[in-house]
Amino acid sequence: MPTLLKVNDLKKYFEVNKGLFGRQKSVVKAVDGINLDVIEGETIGLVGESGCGKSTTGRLLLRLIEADQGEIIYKGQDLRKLDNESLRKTRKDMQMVFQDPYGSLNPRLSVGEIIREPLRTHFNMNKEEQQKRVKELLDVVGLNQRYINRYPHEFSGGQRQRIGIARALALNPKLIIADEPVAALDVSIQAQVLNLLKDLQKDLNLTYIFIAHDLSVVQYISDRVAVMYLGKIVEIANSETLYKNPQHPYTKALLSSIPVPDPTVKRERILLEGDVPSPLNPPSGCSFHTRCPFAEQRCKEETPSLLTVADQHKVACHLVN
Amino acid sequence: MENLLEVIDLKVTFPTSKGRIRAIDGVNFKVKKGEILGIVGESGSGKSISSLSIMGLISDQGQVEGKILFNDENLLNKTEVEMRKIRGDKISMIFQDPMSSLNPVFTIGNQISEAILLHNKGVTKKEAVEKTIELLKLVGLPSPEQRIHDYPHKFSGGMRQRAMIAMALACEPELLVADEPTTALDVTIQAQILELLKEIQMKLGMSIILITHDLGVVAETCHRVAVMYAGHVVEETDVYTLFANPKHPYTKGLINSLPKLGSRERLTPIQGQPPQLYDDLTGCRFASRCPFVSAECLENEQVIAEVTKGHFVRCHKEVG
Ligand SMILES: Nc1ncnc2c1ncn2[C@@H]1O[C@H](COP(=O)(O)OP(=O)(O)OP(=O)(O)O)[C@@H](O)[C@H]1O
Ligand SMILES: Nc1ncnc2c1ncn2[C@@H]1O[C@H](COP(=O)(O)OP(=O)(O)OP(=O)(O)O)[C@@H](O)[C@H]1O
Ligand SMILES: [Mg+2]
Ligand SMILES: [Mg+2]
Repeated sequence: MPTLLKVNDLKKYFEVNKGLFGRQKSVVKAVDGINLDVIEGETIGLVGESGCGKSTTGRLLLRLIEADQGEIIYKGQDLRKLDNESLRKTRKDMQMVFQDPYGSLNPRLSVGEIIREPLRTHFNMNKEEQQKRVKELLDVVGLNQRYINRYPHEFSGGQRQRIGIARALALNPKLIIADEPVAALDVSIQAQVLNLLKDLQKDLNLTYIFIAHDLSVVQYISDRVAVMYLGKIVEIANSETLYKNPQHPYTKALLSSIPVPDPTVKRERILLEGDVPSPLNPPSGCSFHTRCPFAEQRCKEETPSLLTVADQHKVACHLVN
Repeated sequence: MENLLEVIDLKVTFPTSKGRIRAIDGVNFKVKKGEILGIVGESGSGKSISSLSIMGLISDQGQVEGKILFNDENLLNKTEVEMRKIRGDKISMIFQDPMSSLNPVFTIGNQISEAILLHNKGVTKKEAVEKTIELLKLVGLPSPEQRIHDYPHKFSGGMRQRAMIAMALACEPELLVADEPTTALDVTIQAQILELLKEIQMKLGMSIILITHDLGVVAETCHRVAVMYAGHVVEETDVYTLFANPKHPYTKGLINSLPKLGSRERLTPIQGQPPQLYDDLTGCRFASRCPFVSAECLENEQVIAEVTKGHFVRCHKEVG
């Protein structure tokens, strides 16, 4: 399968205020040198600590925000070098489903209008065709067609998330970046949506970048999983390999923290010691060393690079490489 | 143990263009002192509306009926001024939508210290700021000394959620209502925050209502669980019984829909969709999706009944 999207050394730093009166500026390295090949038709899962840069990565890939450095190669073109018109055309191929089902829907538009909007701006369809497509999309995401004239505030969080998915599907995209798309859904609807995403992928040959913190969901939906920590990918492998044979100590801790839906099971947790480091002032060397149970002197001094340990399996850890 | 909170036959309706929607339609549950009650259930089943009712935060359009006894006083009879005093002093809430409870025009630090100052007379500004930093540390926010000067939009989803948890704990409430408090957090931090909630709960003897979709979180955190479906509580029992011996077909379906770690087998969701709550609903509300449905289910409204001690189910097949 050909590579759909190739990301080279992508970086985004934010300036934030520091000090009592915000006069000092300092820098958050939200995304700090990401390399990633996304294969056409695959699902790549992105997991990691809150604030590690997953959403920022997603937004950078769609150029919703501008990167400071790096390349985003799509169909042989660097998206960062496209002019506005070519970008607009390419963007049709790439859609995002957002983490926050509240903030991402315009409260003044009805559900029908929200889903119709991308159709109006990108396709030459008459009113009737638009209406038909909107109803189709509502059906696809399992929302009752009778909801078409209702407004976002009349829906629960989970229902709103399905509206977001319908809107993303409206333009027949090739790549969907889904940022916590099922976090707000109860598990029975979650199962429906996950099955739906898998079916849509098969039918429409979609490629997904799937951002989530629920590892059981990520491993279910993803072919490959990338684990991020403080703006960097620390491990990437096939979904099964990652779950059966995790190598990075952070991945191991992450896997052991998954809550088990069985109150009689008391799990051995790898409890992470130490404070979560600040992206304002990331630790030297390996940024995980402050919480790593196995850290050595070298880990404090040298930054490990992401190296291949087995076929399709890369890890950034001195103790593994 | 004594009941801290008792919700009795709570009903909330809203006007919509299609008629009144019965967002919750006769909800009953109890929270004992020092207990963590989990509420799980279908998206749109009324979990958030139930908790907003307890907080007295249902918008003016909403019509609320029933009783909410908190320390034996009916909160529904309180004036807005009295409720404001109770909120953030005796009951506080972590909202599902972090942006709605953080004010975008004030810094994070400002908002939390304000909450501390409001509910602790005699605390100085400086002490409030120190307490704010301490709380933010407690919930695992990195560099709180610097981050208190930031406005909410500079925080990631998870950081906002942590700021909100800190704000809710600022007044050491008797009852904490937490609506999906850890959805935006990764599991290592989630484990940390749930540990923290359990610890604070034990230390302060606080009671918690924990609304979540994550049955793993329920299994590890809650003492008892209420399962909601289409505006009703359909099952309520202790956490062990819920997983070992679920009775309501919806609860069974819920447990079956979970992805199992290590398996890529196609999931088995509950088929169909929940009913629309402004329809005239007769019979069991789960009937159209229930694999065990029979003629009676379509005719008779179900009532919740105790099947074994402390185990309540809203399904006549189980009650007999
Ligand atoms: N506009 C901004 N200004 C300043 N800092 C920002 C901005 N947007 C994001 N950040 C910072 O960049 C880092 C990464 O944020 P991001 O939202 O990508 O995290 P995330 O991995 O999606 O986290 P979560 O799981 O909590 O959603 C955080 O430290 C965040 O505070
Ligand atoms: N202001 C409102 N006007 C009309 N209907 C509303 C309003 N608020 C909520 N509802 C409806 O009330 C029902 C219950 O909503 P609620 O937000 O309590 O669901 P929930 O169980 O918290 O769902 P989720 O898990 O998705 O957050 C839903 O059907 C919703 O559409
Ligand atoms: Mg995010
Ligand atoms: Mg809710």
